[in-house]
Amino acid sequence: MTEIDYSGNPNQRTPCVLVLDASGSMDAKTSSGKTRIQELNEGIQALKAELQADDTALVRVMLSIVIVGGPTNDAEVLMDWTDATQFQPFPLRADGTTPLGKGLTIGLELIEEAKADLRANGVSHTRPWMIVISDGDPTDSGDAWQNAVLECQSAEAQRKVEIFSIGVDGANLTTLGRISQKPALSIQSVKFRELFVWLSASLSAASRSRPGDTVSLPSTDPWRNVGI
Amino acid sequence: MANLFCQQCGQSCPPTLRLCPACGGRSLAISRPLDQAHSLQSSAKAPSPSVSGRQQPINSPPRLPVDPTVVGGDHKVLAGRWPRLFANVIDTFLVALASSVVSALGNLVSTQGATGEALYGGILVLSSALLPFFYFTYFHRGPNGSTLGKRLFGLKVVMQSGAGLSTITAFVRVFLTLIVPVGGILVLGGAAILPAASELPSLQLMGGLVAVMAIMICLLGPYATIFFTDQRLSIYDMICKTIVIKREVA
Repeated sequence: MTEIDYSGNPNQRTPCVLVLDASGSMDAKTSSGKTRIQELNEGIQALKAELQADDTALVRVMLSIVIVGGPTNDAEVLMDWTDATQFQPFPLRADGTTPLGKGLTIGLELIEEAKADLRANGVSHTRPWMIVISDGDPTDSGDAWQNAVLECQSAEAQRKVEIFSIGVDGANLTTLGRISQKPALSIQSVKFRELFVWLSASLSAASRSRPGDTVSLPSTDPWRNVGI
Repeated sequence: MANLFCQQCGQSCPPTLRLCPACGGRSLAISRPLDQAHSLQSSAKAPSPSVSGRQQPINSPPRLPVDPTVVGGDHKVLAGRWPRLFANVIDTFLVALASSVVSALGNLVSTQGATGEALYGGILVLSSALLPFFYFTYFHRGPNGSTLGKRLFGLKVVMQSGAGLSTITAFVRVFLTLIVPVGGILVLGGAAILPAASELPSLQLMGGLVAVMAIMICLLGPYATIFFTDQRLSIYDMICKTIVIKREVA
């Protein structure tokens, strides 16, 4: 895990793990003529730009990315915990299958690591977020998916994490919806940019709150197809 | 923080990535992969065609990031070859100077009868043999890892894991750097004694040349690898798993 220099920035943090589906199906073209993965990459660029424009979020949000599928055809940590000030977008490549259950388990582990690290450094934090974006059904073998669902449900019930599941272009929302107390949202991949702008604004709102506060998030109208 | 390069495909990656998002490669380093660096060097050396078709030399070829390296997960800058050499020269001079001073003091003592002679012998051993061991071991061990010469050039020796040298490792390293050349010189130089002792001038010349070559090989041979290895490792660095880097962090 990358060491974040908390001494240079002792602000409270809002940790956010992005669990991103980069499986082969993300190579499908959208109505804009671009592939889903290209749209996702542009969305990540937009997230960076939005965070940069928000002084508070910039110093309080920390991000980590778990990739599902992609060139290694596995689920693993792609980006260690990184302060928004240090976050640099990078292009993802679509390939392989969708071991989403493993990705979720890794995401939850990352969150626990971050919380322990923050505690050890005396830095307060708001409830961590896990944003799950997928366009297909999980392809985990055995009970990995089922176990991951139970872990997610348990973690959210214990208020250890706030999970947002987002299905892209006809993903199985029922399956995705099982990982959170909130139903999965549907999004057209052409609206990834709007999604990440919303995410930045939401993280900004969360990062301004104090631990334990209830936060009103921006409306998801610009990008969602179904309501929360 | 500077971006890293995937050693598999050359993709530029933010330093917080654990693997390359383009190819999944897990080897990320601050320097470009060798084949890419070579192709860049080649393109820099090759004259570029102008619009008119005539070729123009490139005045300032791109400077490749060959100096940086990753030690123990942190980005460091490799010590330059010449600064290392000059640092060694200075250290050798300092040790020789200290030895001379100690020997001179011992010489004064030696006038005090048989006891003084014995004491002088001990001091000579101390100054000529033990002082270099003490000097290099003392200054190389620990997180500073710098002899006085290396400090002058902003260099230090660390383990390839990034940790400081233990006293034992520092001692073994200096033991090798002193004993290997001396042993080699004795063996190879000894082989040159016979022809050098001959009465034939041609054989004497040949013996002298062999002796000089033996000394050069023994002294410089173990260091020659710093010109051929990516991390500029001498034979002693390879054996002791050490690396010489700049003291300032990149």
